[in-house]
Amino acid sequence: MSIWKKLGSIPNIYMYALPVLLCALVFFSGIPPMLPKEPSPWIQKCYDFIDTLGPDDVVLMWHDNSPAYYISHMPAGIAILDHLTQRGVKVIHAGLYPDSSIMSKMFVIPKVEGTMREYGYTYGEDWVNFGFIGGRETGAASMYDNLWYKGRDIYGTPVEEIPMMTNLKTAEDLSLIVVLTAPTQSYHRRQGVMKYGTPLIVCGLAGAAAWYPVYVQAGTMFSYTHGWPGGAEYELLLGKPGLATAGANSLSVLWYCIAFFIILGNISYFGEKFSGGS
Amino acid sequence: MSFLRRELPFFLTGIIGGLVILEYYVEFAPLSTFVVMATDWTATIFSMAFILGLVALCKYNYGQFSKRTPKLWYMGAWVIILTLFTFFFGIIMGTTHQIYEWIYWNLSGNLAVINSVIPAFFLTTASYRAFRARSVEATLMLVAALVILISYAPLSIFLWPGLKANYGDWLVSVPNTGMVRGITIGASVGAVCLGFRVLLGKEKAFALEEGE
Repeated sequence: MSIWKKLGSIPNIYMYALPVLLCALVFFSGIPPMLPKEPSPWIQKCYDFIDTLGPDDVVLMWHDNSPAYYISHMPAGIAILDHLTQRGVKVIHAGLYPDSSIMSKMFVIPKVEGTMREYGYTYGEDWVNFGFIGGRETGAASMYDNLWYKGRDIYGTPVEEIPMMTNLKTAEDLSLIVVLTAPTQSYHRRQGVMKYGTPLIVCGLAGAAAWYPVYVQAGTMFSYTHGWPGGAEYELLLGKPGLATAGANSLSVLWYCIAFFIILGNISYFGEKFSGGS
Repeated sequence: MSFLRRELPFFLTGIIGGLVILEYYVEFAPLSTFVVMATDWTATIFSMAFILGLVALCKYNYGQFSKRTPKLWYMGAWVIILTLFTFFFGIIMGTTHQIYEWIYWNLSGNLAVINSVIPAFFLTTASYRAFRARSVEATLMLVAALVILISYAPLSIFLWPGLKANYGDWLVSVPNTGMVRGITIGASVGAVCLGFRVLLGKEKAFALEEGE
């Protein structure tokens, strides 16, 4: 077997093991996270907009995700929620997936409990959680048409007994919509942005972010964050390093590993081709 | 029977769909009230689909169990036990109960995370074996993928900020945006055409044929 052929047929196990070993090595080595000195313009745009909000503003945060992809959305979602809390903004939590109430209750809100305590946030007055809203796009449409649509929060409290909901009627009363997802952003663009003109920020998967500039340019999306790296950049802006910052080096190593194997595969391909192989 | 199975669904789809479209363009309070109500109905009907899914899941797995299908019957029984246990626990104790959340995360959540992470390994091996510059088109895609992959890595932006700003961002905001626009506009026009066909009763795929 020629050297080129050998180079092109590395057993899978080495390709599985190398990224895992390198990521673990980098993660536990204690090397400080190497993050961009300047955040991406779209992340800066999200940050600057949220920085203009205050205690009179209400934000609707959709947790339209399941455990499968929460790792990608969560860091940016947590950083944005932390920023909103620091600004004293009132937040309504809801979600279009059956997992939404658990995702918000277990993985996002507890991560900003410290900030909530620091800024004196009270449930019912400063934030509320409506959990799962069925119907996907029609569920989102119903919620935007009538913010009292769900009737009760996840603890069973009737909406009329929740003080912060008193003067809220439709999406027109919201200052911002934040969506922690990729697949349902189109529902929110159609039902929230196009119908009521409320700005929308999407915390999407890094891969799905290639689609977002189109919507931003068209005006149906205010801005977005791109998966784990987006979360790390937002944490950087906020001055609160978190999960995404901690994993930034490992993420870089993983991407370099994939690029390395692609280049290796092509060296083998061209080597074989020019040395007279098939 | 034919009327109930065929004509009525088309008639209702056409009328309600037409009213919902009309409400978007015409300001008329009773129409808006009706559309809001119809939207709420849809959300309720959608929620009913979960019950249908539960019944279908139990029926299928009970079939595997009762027929003693080799290697599957005990899995079928296990699925039914777990599903019904979680379902009734949620109904009785509430979905915000600590034990329910523990069951959800430790049985379902971790498996879901594993399922979403495993493709990362396949991605590595698949890109190594399949991502070869065999033609001009493949070479263009390969170069674009490598530029994005390397320039968007946090470490690359830290070390060579110009790589992302000059090449990565250009690829995303110029050729990529043009392509995505093309796909989006094409798909949207297609969706509008399909929508009109459904509303006019020309698209019959969603209704069951007699005897099905």
